[in-house]
Amino acid sequence: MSVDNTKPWEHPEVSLSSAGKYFTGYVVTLALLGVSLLLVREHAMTAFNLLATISVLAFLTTIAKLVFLFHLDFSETQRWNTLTLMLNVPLLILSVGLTSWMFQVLFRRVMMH
Amino acid sequence: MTEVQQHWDPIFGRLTLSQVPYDNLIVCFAFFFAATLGLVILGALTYYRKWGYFWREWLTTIDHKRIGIMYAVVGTVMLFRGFVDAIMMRTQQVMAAGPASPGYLGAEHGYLPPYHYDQIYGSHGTIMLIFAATPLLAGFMNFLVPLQIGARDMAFPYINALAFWLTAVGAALTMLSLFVGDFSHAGWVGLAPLTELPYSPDVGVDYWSWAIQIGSVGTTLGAVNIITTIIKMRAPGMTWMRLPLFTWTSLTTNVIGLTAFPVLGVAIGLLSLDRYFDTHFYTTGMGGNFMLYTDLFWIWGHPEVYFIILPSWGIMSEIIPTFSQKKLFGYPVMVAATLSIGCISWTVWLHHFFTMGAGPIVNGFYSVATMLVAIPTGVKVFDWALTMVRGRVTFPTPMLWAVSAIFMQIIGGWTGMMLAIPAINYMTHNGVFVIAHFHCVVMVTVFAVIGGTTFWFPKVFGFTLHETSGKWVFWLLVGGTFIVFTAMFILGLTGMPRRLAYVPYASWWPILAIEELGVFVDIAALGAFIYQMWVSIRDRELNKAGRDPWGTSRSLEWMTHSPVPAYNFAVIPHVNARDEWAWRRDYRLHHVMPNEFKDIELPVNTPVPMFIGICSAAFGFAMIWRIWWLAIVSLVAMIAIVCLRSFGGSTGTTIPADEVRRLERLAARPSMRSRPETAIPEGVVVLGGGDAR
Amino acid sequence: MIVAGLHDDPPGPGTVLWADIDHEHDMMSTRMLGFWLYMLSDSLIFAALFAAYAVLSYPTSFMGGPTPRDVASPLYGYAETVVLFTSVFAYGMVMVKLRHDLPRAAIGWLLVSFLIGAFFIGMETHELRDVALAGGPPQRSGFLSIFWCVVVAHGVHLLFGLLWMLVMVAQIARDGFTQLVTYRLANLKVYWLYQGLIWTFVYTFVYLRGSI
Repeated sequence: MSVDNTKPWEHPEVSLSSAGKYFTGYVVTLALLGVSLLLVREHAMTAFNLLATISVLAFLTTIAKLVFLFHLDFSETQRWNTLTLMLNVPLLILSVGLTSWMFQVLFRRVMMH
Repeated sequence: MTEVQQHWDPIFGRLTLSQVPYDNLIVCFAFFFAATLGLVILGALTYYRKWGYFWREWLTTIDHKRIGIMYAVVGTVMLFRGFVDAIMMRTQQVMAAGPASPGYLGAEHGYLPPYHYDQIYGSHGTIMLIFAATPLLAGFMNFLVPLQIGARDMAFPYINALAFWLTAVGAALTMLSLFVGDFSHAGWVGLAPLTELPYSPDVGVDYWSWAIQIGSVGTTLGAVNIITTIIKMRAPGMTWMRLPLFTWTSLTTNVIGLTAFPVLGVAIGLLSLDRYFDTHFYTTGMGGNFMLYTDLFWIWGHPEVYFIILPSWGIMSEIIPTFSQKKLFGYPVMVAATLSIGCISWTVWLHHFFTMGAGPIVNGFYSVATMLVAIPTGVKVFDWALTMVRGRVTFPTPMLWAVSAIFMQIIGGWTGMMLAIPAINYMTHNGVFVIAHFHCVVMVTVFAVIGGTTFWFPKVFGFTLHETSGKWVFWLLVGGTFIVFTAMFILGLTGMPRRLAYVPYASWWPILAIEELGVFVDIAALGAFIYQMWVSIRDRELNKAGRDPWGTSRSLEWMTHSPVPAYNFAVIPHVNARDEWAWRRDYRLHHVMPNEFKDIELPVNTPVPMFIGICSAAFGFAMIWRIWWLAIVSLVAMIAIVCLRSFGGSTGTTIPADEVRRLERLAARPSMRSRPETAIPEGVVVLGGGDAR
Repeated sequence: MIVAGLHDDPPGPGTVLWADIDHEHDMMSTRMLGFWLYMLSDSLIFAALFAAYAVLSYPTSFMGGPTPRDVASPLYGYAETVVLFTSVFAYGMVMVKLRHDLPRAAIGWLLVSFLIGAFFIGMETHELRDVALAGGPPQRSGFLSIFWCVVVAHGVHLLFGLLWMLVMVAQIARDGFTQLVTYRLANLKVYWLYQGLIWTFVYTFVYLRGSI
């Protein structure tokens, strides 16, 4: 990949920026979290369903951020960022998820109900 | 801020003269040993007027090869310290078996009081895993990875130096704890809630936690560096499926380093919050949960095991094909096995605390996940074996080490599979069977590291190590190791718990004595090693190595001169095959030299990483002794240095083409120049379509 | 299909032994990838903190003290979300100005982003002070320890981001958009946007979940 070092602002990673995308990301993410807020304030569902729903909404917010703000895709410029993130996410889920699971089972067995 | 029970003043924090254990005979002896060694080195630097050289070429260097060597030196010093700890523990146990055993030096049994003994096993584990194995392997990776992928340097040479200095500071803090204050008595894993302030009011736990914290920031930065280097800096033609296996394992290991060490930072950071701010993460009352510490620690701890073992397998995978004169059997499968071990390492951590009682479903999940590790590991063992099958196998010292490491791996792996069964694990938990198991596994690393050192020593320093004494080291160390750990397995099955300062059953004494015998053999191995170094350095002119002293090696690092010039390769090679150097040799292209040189740009040295290291040492020391003003000053200084440095431009220096040509002529051995020119096959492009001569 | 490298051809016409030019590495891409990897590493710090939060948010960890519902108000949290995301958007505008080579406008947006970010820190400080005054300092219970820890860890990240912004204002003013300044601005973008991303989870799993 040849890059013109005299005009660094024309580097592919910089030229991804666009005001329209940033604004879309801003609005979409706030709207999604706003829905979460409304659902929680209205106690719209049972506790478990509510938790599942706001988790899904947080996941969608994350996707929106990654697409509109981080510009992640499989292009030449962003390929490694996307790939490393995809390899990283399972670790986040494993460390939080398995920890929650083992302690939930533990508490059920040894401490309280 | 939590009030400490003991003395504290605003200038010196908890530090008083009485914290120096001058009344302890053993510590005094260690101090005199260290001080004498230090004075000899400083005196030699002054006498030979090497201070300028030392500053220019080592302290301020950002050359990945020099940094690799410095990592290895730190690792070797710490390995020695950890070995001394091991000797002391073995000796204590054999002296303190049974109620009738006598006591010396103020101990009731043996010669070490329990509190002192507890610090020794804590420091032995911490040092061996974090400040010996990790720096030694980091040294190998630093030195080899850029050479194996055909790069001039790391992606971030400056960060590389910074990572080294932070690791060195961690090691230095651990050593300092010997002479000022004490070290953690709660094991290398930091058993919560024993590490909490009420149960460990001294500075020992703080030494342990800050040494690890600072060192692991270094490891994380190093991981960023090596991953980026492998992804971005490969020579043309170096496709993923041509990457040498050591580079593959370095990549996997550093992915683990990148992702696991932050969790360790959190685990120990929350403990520090408990100790400094009186919070309740791991306390037994007030809503804390000490099993949370165990959980977070092992989320890091198990991947860390693979952090240490994977590069060792990489070293073995380089040595075995070289001395079988055959390419590695099943290369793609080896790569897949490496990557899958990296993945599985993240799903097994609960097997370190099956006895927590999370129940059969949770334990079953982790048990099965743990057993899955055996599949890729078994694949690796078979691949190494099949590499040797029908090869022209020779057994110089590196090969002896690599093959014995396979045996060690099999023993460690088998016993690991036994421990993966929760029912057995409940029996052996906190027993010496576990100790024997994981020592067999880490001995794979020790064997691979010594083998790798013998293998690459001529590449690093330009002369080979003395072979006969090397074989003495091998037979003594392997023999001693098998004696110690076979005996320990027997004791483990008999039910002996780990971490005993006093062994209650006199009937265990004979087996403990056998272990002690093994330790003596290991000490003899150390003596042989020192002799080997002395002979090798004495005869260095006789044993000068060319580019490829083994004559059968396979990857890119053997293409350049020994020792490797600052610019690594005069001209970056274009890679045509998986084992490029072997490929060139097979097709008689290995004497073809580039016919055209260009200017080479290299980064310039800088003392900034060392300054940041010094600040971090001051910060760590201040936090340990609760000298708040110094902690604030050094933290601000660190941030200020980072900010100010960013205002400087990027600095590089250029080696002109003529100078490269001159250095290349100088480095080429006479024998190589006088050799008749090899005919170059029709049409092979030597450089830029130019003429071959 | 033959995967390159699985099969080694013998040398023949067109085989190249040395790289013709000294392989130009794209310095900016390399440095940005390195920083991205560092951010992934940082995400594991938050993963570990969230794991700890999950373990320490059972009633036994409240010790009769304030519960999640008492310390984190979803509405106030949403106001904080709006402020932080606005700062993130303002930083996006810095990148747009960078792309069009307008250093002065970039400095302007950078200051806007800085001020809104600082306002967020102010809101957070106010909120935590109220929690402390209402009987919920971090020393009160295991739950409050982790609550404070998660929120403050995020806040400390923001403080370092704010410091970095000031450094970048000075560097743009002095050097303009050189290669070094450009890649640092791009890295700071990743850093700042990432703090917004983490806040999404703090808000959902600390603020909202507490009130379910």
